[in-house]
Amino acid sequence: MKLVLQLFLLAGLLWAPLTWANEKTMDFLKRMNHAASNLNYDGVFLHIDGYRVDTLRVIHKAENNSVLERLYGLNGNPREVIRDEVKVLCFMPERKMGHAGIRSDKKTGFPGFMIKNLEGLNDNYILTSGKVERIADRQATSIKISPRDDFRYGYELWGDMETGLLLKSVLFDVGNNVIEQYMFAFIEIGGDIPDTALQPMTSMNKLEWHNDISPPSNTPVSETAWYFTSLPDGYQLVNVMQRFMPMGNKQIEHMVLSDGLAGISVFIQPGENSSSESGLQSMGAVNAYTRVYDDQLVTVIGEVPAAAVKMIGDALEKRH
Amino acid sequence: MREKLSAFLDGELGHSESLKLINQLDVDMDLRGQWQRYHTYGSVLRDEMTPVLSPDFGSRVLQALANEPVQFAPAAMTKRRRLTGPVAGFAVAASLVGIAILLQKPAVEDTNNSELQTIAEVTAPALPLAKSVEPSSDNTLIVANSKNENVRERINQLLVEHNEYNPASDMTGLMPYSRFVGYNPRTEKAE
Repeated sequence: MKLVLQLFLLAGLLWAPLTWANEKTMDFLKRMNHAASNLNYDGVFLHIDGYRVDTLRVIHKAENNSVLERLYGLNGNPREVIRDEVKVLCFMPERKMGHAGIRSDKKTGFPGFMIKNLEGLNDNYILTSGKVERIADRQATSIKISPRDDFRYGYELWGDMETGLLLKSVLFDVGNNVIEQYMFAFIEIGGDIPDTALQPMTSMNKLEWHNDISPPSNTPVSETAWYFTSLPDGYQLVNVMQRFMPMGNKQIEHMVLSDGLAGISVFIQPGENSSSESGLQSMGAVNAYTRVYDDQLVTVIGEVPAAAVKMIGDALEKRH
Repeated sequence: MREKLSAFLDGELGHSESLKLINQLDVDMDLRGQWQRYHTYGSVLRDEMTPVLSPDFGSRVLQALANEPVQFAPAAMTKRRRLTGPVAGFAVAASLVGIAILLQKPAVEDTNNSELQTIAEVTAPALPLAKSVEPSSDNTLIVANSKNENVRERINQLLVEHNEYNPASDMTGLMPYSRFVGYNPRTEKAE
């Protein structure tokens, strides 16, 4: 009996720091999530992807329970994204085109998914915290979420110590090699943001607009005709939608898989059998795998290693 | 203005001057190019990048250095400043960058133990890797790694939809849209 009690106490002692670390991580991520949505900020950040560096400005205004945000590049073609809670406007002036997407009802599934399932992250990631760094002239503290295998990337996230806002994000692989970074070079947090700062630099009238016909409609996960013969450890199907192809009028199926942190989308386009597009495509941290299934084009995309998108793409089957 | 950019990157420019500089970046193409080059050099110096270097990368950087105006000599500055940050690092160690970059083994030559490449070998078409790049007029260090611009554009559009459902996007807000904004079909070279 005494031995059982000792083992019980030992297990408790071992478990306590883990629970404390999880709670600390959860608080950190919740604070970061809240700051990203609820603060006014205006900053310039770098996106370093391989040996490509893009410099972008982001302006975020949260007022009267509504959010309006604008992102545009300081290099190259003046592409731009303006988003509120209902729609995403993508400006492509070099193509004289724009795309107005309708956002889904975020209350059904995301964004709460990650935070609700943080306990499960320990199965696939190792959580550590503690570094302090000066970023964009502000003090930031970090948390590191390292992958346990090569089916997902890890994240090192630096949050502003005063507000919790994410100031730097580093994506790395299981070998600790850096894949991609976002980092603010300058940021002003708080204060008023004039409406003029959220106006696009390209007049909407100058572009041909392709608008989503309707918002995505959710299908219960159990009712989809598709299934996966196997999945990388930790991933599960979390969302299934019927939606229209961006810039087109064809209805497609959009499935989302997640391990609680990484997300992978599977798009199934009927009536497409262009085998010339088959194979892997790499865009920095994003990997995509395309294959033809009967007369349907299947595209698997995620900020995950190529092995993950390929395994998921190859495992897709349809119930007959 | 370049001196202000240098001071800004060193964290030594005042708040109001920083705001003015950022607004100037919106309209001054030369200044934007300078900004990008400073950060690329600085990132390499700080070993923050994991470049997949093309074989002629070193010579292109050296060429870019040769074309740079001599802006970094302390004597040319009206005020002596502490040499810190990416620009100062660049000034002190520019020659070392060239050597380091030339010594960097191009990743395209590494054919050992890469799962990505193993997959590429068994999948048609092979996963495209960086190939040699023609020097671009604005010295941007960009290499397209997609075989087909249309395929990449299609994937880019799907990526916009995917971003809305990526749990990690909850913390990063609009940042994942950087790929859409940064995608620049006119300056990239399709395979």
